[in-house]
Amino acid sequence: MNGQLIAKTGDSGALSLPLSTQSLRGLALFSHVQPCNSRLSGQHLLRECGGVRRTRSRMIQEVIPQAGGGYSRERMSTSAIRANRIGALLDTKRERMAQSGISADSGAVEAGPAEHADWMRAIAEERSRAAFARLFAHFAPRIKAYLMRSGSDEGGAEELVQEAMLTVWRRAESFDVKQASVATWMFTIARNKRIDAYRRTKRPELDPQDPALAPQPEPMQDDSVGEGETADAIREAIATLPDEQAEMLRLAFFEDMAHSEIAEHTGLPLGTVKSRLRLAITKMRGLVDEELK
Amino acid sequence: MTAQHTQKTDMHGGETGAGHLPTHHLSDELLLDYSAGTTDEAVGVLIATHLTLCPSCRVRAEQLDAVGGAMLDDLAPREVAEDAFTQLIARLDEPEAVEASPLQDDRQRGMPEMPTNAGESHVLPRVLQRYVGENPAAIAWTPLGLGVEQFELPVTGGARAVMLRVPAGRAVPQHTHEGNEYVIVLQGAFRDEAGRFGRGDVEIADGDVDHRPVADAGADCICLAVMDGPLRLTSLFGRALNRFVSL
Repeated sequence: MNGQLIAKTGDSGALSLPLSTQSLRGLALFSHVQPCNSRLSGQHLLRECGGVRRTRSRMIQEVIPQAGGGYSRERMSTSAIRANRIGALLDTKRERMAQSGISADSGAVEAGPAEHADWMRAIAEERSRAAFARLFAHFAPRIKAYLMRSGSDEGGAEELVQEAMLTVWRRAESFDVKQASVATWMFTIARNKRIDAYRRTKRPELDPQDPALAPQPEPMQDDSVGEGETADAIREAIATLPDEQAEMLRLAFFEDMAHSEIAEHTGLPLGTVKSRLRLAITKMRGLVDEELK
Repeated sequence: MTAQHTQKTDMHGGETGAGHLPTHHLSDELLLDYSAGTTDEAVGVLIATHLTLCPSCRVRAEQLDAVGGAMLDDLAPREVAEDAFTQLIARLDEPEAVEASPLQDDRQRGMPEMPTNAGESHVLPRVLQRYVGENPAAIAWTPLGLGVEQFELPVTGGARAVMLRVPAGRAVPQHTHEGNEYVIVLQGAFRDEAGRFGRGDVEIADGDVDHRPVADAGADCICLAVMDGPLRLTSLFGRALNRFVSL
């Protein structure tokens, strides 16, 4: 029962692929150059293309060493590239779009919450393996990083990443973008896998079908602020937290440490750890409320 | 009174009734640990029980999950194995393995039998029913002394979870705590120096709290108590008993 707090049957809407601003920029770039025959995303890849026809593998080889350029933390791994290639090949719709010069973001720099939600919709409604490939390319390396940071060894992390992505595939229909962002849902799935595996117990969770569940009172059901805006507001709020508060939050979320262990690890008094965390959460909530006004 | 936890208490709580919502809530600290997945199983059961009964804490819990999600998205990625995706694709079509029956696992852990018409009683949230059964009256209570009864939940981890039944009007002996104590009320109510705690309310108490909770008249008070350290009796009489009593 992963991600119960946010799992709900989504409403089915028409599948549309909104053009992100990056896609439009890509289109402009392509308007005067030969099609690169590349469906790999990344503004850097398009730029490298430079209007000269190249084989895809040559382009990849050229671009990858520089993948550090615009996004210092990420190299496109070969498996991510392969995932993107498979995705592109399998999805004729996106192939048509790619041939017309629109770059379908596949998990490198540009993919944000809106793109993630598009992929989820494609997975849920069309069982699109292309979209799943993109989701994998973006989230699998991050889930692996999360699991290893919280104490998993590499093999165990790889295993759990597979389990988590499998769950995503199987439960895609239950994801509701109005309830939470894709990243939030992925986090809860990965977290629950971690608890199952390493704490040898399932995480106790409320049952959404529980007759004892106290319903939201009317005023709180106001849907004018969607979960998407809230997720964006939270990301912004975290970015503006003082470093030591943000770092404390990261330790709390990702290092699988009790507060006393964080105190030991950082050498700070327990009281400081607790108050920093409390301040971080209060500040974050205040910023989110401000954002959403 | 509680030094480590800043508990949230609504000023305008309603009286008991069908629509009564809790006024004593989970702390940010507890919700953070629950969202991060670092709570002991006992604490998790108590938290999920409160969340069932408290919509505003559910919102706070969801916000913290969103914090986890935002930070996950910002993590420096670790490259996955070359064939990871191809392996995964190959598994998409395999039939979903039937999850090891939770019932089997539960029986091994000594969980109570669930009646076949589960879902009839609304008193205990389902997350708690899994550990104590559906019907509070049918719990295998054992006497604790002074009319108070208890039932120990089969949980793993460093914290204990105990159902308590305190007869109407009766007091729990004066005590303090060597660790933290979290108590959620499922039926009836109790009062102590921190206020009145009715259905869904959570009291958070640590070593700075020395209290003698008294059950309200009119109904037995049934609650779930979670402790990550032993209790210490502190009344004159109680102190003499401490070495003989393990609480």
